Amino acid sequence: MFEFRTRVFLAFLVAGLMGIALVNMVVDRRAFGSGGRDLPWWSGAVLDLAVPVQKMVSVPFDFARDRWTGYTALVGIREQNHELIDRLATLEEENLQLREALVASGRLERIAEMRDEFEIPMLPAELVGVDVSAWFRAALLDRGREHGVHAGMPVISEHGLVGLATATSRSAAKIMLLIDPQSAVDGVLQRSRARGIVRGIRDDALEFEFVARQGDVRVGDELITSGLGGVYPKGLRIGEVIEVEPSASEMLQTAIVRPAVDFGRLEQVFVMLRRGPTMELLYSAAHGDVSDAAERATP
Amino acid sequence: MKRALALVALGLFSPMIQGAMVPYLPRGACPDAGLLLVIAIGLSLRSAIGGVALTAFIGFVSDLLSGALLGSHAFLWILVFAIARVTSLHVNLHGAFMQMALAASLTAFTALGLASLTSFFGSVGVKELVAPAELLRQTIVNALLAPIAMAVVARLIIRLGNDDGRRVLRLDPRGFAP
Repeated sequence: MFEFRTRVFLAFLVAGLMGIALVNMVVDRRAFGSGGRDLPWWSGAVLDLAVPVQKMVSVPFDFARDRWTGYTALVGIREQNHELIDRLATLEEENLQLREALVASGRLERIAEMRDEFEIPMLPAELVGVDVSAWFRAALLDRGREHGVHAGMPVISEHGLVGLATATSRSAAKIMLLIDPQSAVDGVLQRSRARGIVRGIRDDALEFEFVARQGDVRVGDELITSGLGGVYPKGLRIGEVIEVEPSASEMLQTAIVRPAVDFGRLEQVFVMLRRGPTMELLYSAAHGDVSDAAERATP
Repeated sequence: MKRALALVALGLFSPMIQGAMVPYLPRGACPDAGLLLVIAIGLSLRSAIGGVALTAFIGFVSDLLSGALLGSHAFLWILVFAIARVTSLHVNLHGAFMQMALAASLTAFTALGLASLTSFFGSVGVKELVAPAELLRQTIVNALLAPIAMAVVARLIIRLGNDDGRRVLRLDPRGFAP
């Protein structure tokens, strides 16, 4: 009798836990579609705890790596220094010429005004851990809600776009990297202005899908965010086209893009402390203050 | 109580430590600590109710530390726990080879399950999520480390508990005994 009761209880427990898991998946997918979510304290506590634990585990590895890279970086540093000085001189000269051209056209003042208007505050953050599952590409940052980080905020590095914050706790944030297969970014080629969708396919490659008829895509083209879709600001560097695949259909064609960011060596990133207009609307709709968001989203 | 606390701590910290180690290792060379722990618990822990609850907790922690949908690891690992438990009742899993085979097949099951769930709820295909080469690498790494993980968990359960000696098929603490 006792064993029968235990078995029945076990069956109910398994069914109950699996049901809760299923409901969570649905809720999580809906939250993902509306700009991510700020986790409740009981699940956020796991992320908050993970940050110091992962930092502690990383200390000896970081120490060894820093020593090694510090040593290897010395090799050939003199030559590199000369190259950089030459390059700096060229860029300064180019910068001066461009400034002169802008002053001559009377647009410099207007550009300076626009920059002040659109400048987005940035928060430096450290990447403390990466995805525990081999099939996804997420990462954990050591900055959370108490630092002003919320779901839906873009994350960048000095090289280009890194990803998007998808969940936040009090002192940590989970980000979906650009190379995650679930990530989709609206991109545009700097040279030809061909537009398309960028998706993650591997650690070192992205897929750029564009309309074949309009697409003038060549190897070496720079890909940046288009700003359309309202998630990421315009002009963030995504990567460089390394291969244009032969068209499988008449409508769509794909190109392989090498990400501007080396995700294997990513340590320091910057969180843009302002959501894109679409993200702001979606997030606010999910949290119930649509009118404010609509006002903020209207340029 | 001591045993329960030790297993909860193991379930909480092993995915965190794994997440911190991944950047320093080649992709796919890091074992799935949570999955190995769930299989080991399925084979070693006497209480099925405690095992299911613990498995759901480990799955939840892994969900939070990964880009998967919240709940997907918990959902699949409860199934993994059940499969490991039922298999242990019908197949002799004392040998390292059999444990490796079980871990390998459950790694593939979890990977395909995660990809199917993500594909069902999202817009990504199974093929885009699970590359065959990566699946093979992960399967091999998990299989190689499975006997060690199972021996460690079995030893921990026996040392901290007082009733698991009566488990129908208990793993030998040394793990490799025939």
